[in-house]
Amino acid sequence: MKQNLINYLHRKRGTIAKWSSDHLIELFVFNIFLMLLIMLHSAGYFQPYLPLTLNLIFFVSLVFAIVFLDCRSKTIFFIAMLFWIFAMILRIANLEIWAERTAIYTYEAICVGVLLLFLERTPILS
Amino acid sequence: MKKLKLLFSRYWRSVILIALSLTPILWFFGRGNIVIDGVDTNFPLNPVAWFLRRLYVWNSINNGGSDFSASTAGLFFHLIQVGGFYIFHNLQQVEMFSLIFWFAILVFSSYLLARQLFSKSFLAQLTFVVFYCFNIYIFNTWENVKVANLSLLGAIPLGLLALILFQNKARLSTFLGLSLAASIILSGAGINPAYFICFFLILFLYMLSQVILKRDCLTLFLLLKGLLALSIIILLVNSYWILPTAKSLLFSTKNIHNIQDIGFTNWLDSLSEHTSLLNILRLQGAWDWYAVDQATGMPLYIPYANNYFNKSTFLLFSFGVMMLVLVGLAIKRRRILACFWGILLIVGVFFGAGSHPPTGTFYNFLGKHIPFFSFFRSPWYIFTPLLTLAIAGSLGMLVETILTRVSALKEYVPSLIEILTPRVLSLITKRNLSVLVILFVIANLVYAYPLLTGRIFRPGRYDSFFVKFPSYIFDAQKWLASSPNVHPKRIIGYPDDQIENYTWGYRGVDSILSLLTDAEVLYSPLNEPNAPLPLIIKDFYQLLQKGNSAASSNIAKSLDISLILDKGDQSSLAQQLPPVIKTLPNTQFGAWNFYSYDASETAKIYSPREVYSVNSEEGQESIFLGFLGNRAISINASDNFLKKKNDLSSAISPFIFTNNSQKEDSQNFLSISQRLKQSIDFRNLAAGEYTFSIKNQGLYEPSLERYALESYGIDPASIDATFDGVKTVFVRSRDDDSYVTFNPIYLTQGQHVININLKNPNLIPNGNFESLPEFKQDSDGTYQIAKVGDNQYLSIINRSGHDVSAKFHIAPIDQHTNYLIQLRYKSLWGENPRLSVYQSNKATPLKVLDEQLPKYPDWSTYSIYFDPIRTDSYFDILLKAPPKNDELGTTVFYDDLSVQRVFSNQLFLRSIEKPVKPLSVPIIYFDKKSPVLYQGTVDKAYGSHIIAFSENYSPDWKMEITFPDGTKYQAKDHFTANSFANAWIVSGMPIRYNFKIWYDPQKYFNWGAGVSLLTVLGLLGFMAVDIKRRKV
Repeated sequence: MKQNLINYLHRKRGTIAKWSSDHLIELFVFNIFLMLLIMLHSAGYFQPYLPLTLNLIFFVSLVFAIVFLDCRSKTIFFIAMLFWIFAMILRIANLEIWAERTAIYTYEAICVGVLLLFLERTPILS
Repeated sequence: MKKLKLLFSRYWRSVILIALSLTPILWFFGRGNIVIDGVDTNFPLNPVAWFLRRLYVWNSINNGGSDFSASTAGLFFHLIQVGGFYIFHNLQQVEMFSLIFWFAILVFSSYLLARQLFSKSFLAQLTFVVFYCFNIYIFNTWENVKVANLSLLGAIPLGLLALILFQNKARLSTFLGLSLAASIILSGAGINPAYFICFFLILFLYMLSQVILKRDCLTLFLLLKGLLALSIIILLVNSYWILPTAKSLLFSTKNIHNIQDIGFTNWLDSLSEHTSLLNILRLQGAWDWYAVDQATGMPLYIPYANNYFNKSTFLLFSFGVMMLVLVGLAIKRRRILACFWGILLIVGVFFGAGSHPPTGTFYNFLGKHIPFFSFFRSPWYIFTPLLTLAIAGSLGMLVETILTRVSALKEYVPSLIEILTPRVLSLITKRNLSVLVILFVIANLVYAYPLLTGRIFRPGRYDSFFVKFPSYIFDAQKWLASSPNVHPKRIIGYPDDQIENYTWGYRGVDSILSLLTDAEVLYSPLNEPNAPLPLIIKDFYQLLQKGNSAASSNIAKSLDISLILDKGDQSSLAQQLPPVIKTLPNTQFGAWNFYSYDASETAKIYSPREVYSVNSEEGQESIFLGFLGNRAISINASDNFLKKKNDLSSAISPFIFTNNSQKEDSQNFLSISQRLKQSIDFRNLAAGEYTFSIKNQGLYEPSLERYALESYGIDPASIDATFDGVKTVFVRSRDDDSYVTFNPIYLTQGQHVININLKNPNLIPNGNFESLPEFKQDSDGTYQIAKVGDNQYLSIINRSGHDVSAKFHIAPIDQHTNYLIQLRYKSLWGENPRLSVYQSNKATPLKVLDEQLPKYPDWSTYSIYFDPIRTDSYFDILLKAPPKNDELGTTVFYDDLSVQRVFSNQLFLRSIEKPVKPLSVPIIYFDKKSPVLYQGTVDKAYGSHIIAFSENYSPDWKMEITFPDGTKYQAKDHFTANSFANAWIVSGMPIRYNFKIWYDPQKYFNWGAGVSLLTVLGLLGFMAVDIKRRKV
């Protein structure tokens, strides 16, 4: 099974490399946007009218991921699962506050995922 | 045996479902003859009486009655109990029958929906049923046997199924049958209309998800038609409670917009304290799970909560379920369903979190801007059914997908095939996956073990819901039922605790008598304790405890109380009933004693001799009633009714309440949270000052509360006082054990002041330290009576690592008044001085007040008021020098320590000028036909008179007079008497006439019940015809 896994990852590497070269500009723009938002957040821009919280940045990044990186519901739910597992680890380690914050990201990802479930059937994304 | 096997092989699915439905049997198994009851779980000990109460929109049982419109929704729920009662007669069996019925409703309704949604796999259906019926959210529903929750949970699957079948163009009779069943089961949700609305929210979300995904007009039209038809059926079948409830909420004269307008506390924020998304997504949002004992860290209410918080297996499972839900959504093989579960999940979590951040901002916005949205004051409890449905649905969908399309795993998880070895792959068979699913379902049942085993009812704890009622309770029930004509009047319970806590296990927030009988009862309510009648009841108890029998007896006459139930089996801090009550005629049942007042002197409908306008504030009405009883009624001087032209104005006399400066100051002080400014004032309690204003000059008779006058150095026979600055003597004209009345005085218009000199002793002898007072010292402190000039004071030096104090003991205390604790101090060095007051009895500490005094290096005054818990107890006053972490420690000087009782006796003045047109006092005979209808005859009415009706005021109470010739007249001059009751002034009537008093909104119930009945019969008839036609 170990060999199977290595072979599988080896094959996937090529697929990922192709996807990356296909989305080079989008990845660049996505990262720039993300960095910009983080910088604006750290400098406290738009406060108190629109606080650029990390929650908002995470949500915006999910939306950008759909627009630029062609993310679909399966990927978004996968992200939700990752954060949920992370929340679980934090909760088991009794880091309740951090687990709560992580669960917020899970919920945001679920919201976006469900929205995509609807949109994937519309001409916008289908 | 073979036959049995054959039967099992044919009906094994039904056997599993029936087994699940019988879960409530486990709750009673091995626990003897107990009943699940207490606190919010109001299982009636007289099911028929409880059912019949729900045929009326006014409940006259509790505390003077209240509108009961929404509670009529519980008719079907209690009908099931009545059915069980007629079959079994035994209360335990009745309860078991009722619980099994509702459990079966949940199991079978969810199964019907699951069968429609996941038709290819029974395991998927079972998964849906088990996760829908056995989850953490439902613990609370069953723990309190919440009618509204159960109804909603039972009706959701049926409503959805009806809509889906309509969409699939199923037979009309099937749709109508399901709609009818959903309507009847949903009816209980009307007890809290927020749950009823939640049902429609779920149907709306289903329609929304379908319409968005299918995007064709036909679907929209079909679903709209189905939803409309279903809604109309539900609304028509439930008209019997919808009409009166809508009337009471939407068209009330109270102008209701939010939850506070109907007297409920808005506890949204406190209930949302632990509804973080992390908890909500794992169904752990119940507030009572998080209440812990600060000292031990153990759960206060939910003993099993720690398992869910700390045990890693439970934690893993709680996260694992949501993980699988996400997998189910990600697979999206059935996209339309996935969208529906997804949207339910999002909305359920969003609303369920209530005002908890981050989504709480939006929730609060909705609460502010949408009328009636504040009725969703328990968001987690109301909206989590959306989430449980989403979880059960997604898991069912996941199970169906993996079991029906094992080969499709390649399609969904192609990487799995590439990674796994053929040997492992060969293990992924339908059979093995089925075993996994069964294990998962069993794991969920284990995870929900408190529900399965009955631990949700907290067996073995002080707050257990498993109660074995003693037999004398039922003897008392029989006695009350056997002589309804002897005891048609009200019964007041004693002791006066808001939560009745019995030594044999029952705990209730309403009087236990309301579970047992149809007798009208009065007690200290937990809800709306500051409503007019509860305030009078509170004072009645206090008068009883003070031994003021004349006043308490007068109040009993006004409130139509004929019995005092002394519950000797109730754990309470309240003092025993005074000996004077125990001399009344008594009927005993075990620990219960019913003491009888003279019932001939009381009546619920009566005609008072006098009427007074009172300038009373909250809580003063009891003085008026205690003084005059049912010979007079009062009307508030600011009541708009007095501005109307009627015969009342010529019959009314003023009754003036004065402001007692000491009482007012203590009450103001105690109502402020930040009170440093008030604390540094010096207070002199050597005089009682009464101020009042007179509008109508004339002769007034002053009366003073009698309680403990001598202990303030007052001789009731003649009181030296100053009246508007002039020395005068008030000479007693008459008195009893409650009030002293003095010779009349002439009062002119305007403001007046009466000062009474008091000898209000310091309860700490030698508190000025001029000679050594008695106090207890800590061994680590240095205590010294120091002297500067002629003045002596106490010096305390603390160089130890802990508190050092001088402790003054005061015992016993007078529990019926507040106390002023006053001292002078000087903080020389170190930490802030502290003043602590401990109130305790022999068994336990009762109340602690710990005040940090400002660090002031010169002599300064500090005073605080203390309102003790009303029970036999003592005080310890501690003057502290707290520790400081340096060599010099803390040095504090204390002087002039005094503890004095607040003189709170009320002085009032009654006009004795004859009214322009005195009232006639006719004789009234009446019958209570039902809680909403009283009929009677008035005789010897020789002029204008008042009909007082001692039931809580509502403009919807109407009175109609029938003349001897049969003509009818509706009395219009209706006003609030005695701050809570109804009264009509009647003029120009014949000497003898008949009257009828009724609660008008009952007509909406009657109309609604007619509509409901016709709808049910119509639907049943239509279905019968349809079935017959098909057979032909």
